[in-house]
Amino acid sequence: MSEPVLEFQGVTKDYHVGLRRRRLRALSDFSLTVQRGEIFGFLGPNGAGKTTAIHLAMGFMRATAGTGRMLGREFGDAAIRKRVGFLAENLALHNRRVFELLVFYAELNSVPDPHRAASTAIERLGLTDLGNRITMKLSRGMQQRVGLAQAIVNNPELLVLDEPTSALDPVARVMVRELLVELKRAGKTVFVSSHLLSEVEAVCDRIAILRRAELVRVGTITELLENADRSSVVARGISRDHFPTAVAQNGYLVLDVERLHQRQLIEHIWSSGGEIVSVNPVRESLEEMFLRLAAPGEEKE
Amino acid sequence: MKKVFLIAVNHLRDQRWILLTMFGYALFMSTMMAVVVRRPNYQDAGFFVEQQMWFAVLFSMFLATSAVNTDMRTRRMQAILSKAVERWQYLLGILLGITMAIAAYCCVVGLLGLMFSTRAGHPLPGIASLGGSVLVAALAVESLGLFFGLLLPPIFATTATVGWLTTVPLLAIKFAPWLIYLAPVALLATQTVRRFNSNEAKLLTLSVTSTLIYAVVVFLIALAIFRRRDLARATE
Repeated sequence: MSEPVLEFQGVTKDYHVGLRRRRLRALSDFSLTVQRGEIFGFLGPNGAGKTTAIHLAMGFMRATAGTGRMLGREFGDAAIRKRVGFLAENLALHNRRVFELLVFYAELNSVPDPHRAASTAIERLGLTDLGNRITMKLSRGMQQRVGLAQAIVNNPELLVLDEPTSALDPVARVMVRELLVELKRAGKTVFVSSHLLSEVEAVCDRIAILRRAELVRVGTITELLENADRSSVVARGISRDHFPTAVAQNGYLVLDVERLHQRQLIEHIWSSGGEIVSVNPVRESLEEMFLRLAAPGEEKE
Repeated sequence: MKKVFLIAVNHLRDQRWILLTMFGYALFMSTMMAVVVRRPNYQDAGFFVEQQMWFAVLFSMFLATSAVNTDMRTRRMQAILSKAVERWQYLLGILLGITMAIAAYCCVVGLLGLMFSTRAGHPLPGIASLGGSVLVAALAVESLGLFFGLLLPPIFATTATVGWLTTVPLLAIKFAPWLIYLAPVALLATQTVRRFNSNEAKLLTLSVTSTLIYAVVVFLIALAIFRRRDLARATE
């Protein structure tokens, strides 16, 4: 396997807040690996530590303990950021004309032809008519698009996006989703933090879920959503009176059963004269799983 | 160095309203002078140039103490430092941006002074060396302002800078003369004013050099702090 594009190794980050310098743990022994070419979703409720992890990766802050690498170099290496695109949460752009601003950011990344790079980014984000507009006068959604344009202006290998679709309308969201898929096709890696679970489910290859500074789940969407402990049995030709927990669906009865009792249930259906249509692992939606994990008291895996 | 220059120009553009106020002030004062004192003599012209030039040091302090804090609060710093920019390039860019503004201000005031003194008979000698001294003093104050601005919110950083620049010379007078090298701007200012008023055009080599060295040392200390500092804040 090739070298990970982004790697956190036992990273802990403490803030000291208030006059008494009270300790606030934002990340606790956090380890994660993002492989080349994947779209990685980073989820968690507010205050879980997602932005802290991203800021550590970008070198805006130092870890209290642990290390991390981005594109093979220690976090904070400025030269490597030439190959990285970043979009911050609550984006703040300099007050310039859009085209000028993108040229400025491209020049900071030593892009060989900053004007062409800016034009390409403008086109890609559908900002062609706004090139001469001042960023402060744009709507929040348009500013977000400019933010995305500055993140891709250097044609990065790794894109780190913190809530990229938070201020966008549904049409723009679809465009961003398509952009991410297009970037993946071009071999880029995308590390995206988002609250929009449907989008994460639609585009991400793998996801990680943080809760209260700790990583609680990591894996592919299928791995995480399919519950290996429970099965969904679809049957027909049986009476609901014999199976009170069954749910009627499209003329069939659907029974949710623990894997341990699956065989017993199937035999019961057969003995009742019924027929098995399908047996599948129970699949939660990402939202269901997220809400379950975000709730207090859920065990860490 | 291209990135440092880009950041400097960018910083100047961000501060354009403050800079416009600064230049507007110089022009307003010169207009007042032209209106009130119809035929300025050398003394008037000298006083005008000297007073307006030293205001540059004050401006440089205000610009420096708030620079990093404002960029951090508005998160614009993240937009720059997420690119292939080293922290030293960023901080040097800020310093260069302010210095460029101060240099331009000194040039404008110097030209106005020349204009007034020429109307009085002949150009005042020593305006260039006064400008040079003020620029060096401003550079030292900027470094000190950046240093305190990294540790404290802008208003406290400004207070600390003023406190340092006034208390240390007083302590030097009272206790140990060598203490003046912890705030050599005062020494440079005193000597520059004395020389300028005695029409001596020479630059004050020793005090200019010591102030320059001071500016570099303080900037390096500020940089060491900035390199280790978290640039994002905790959210609860």
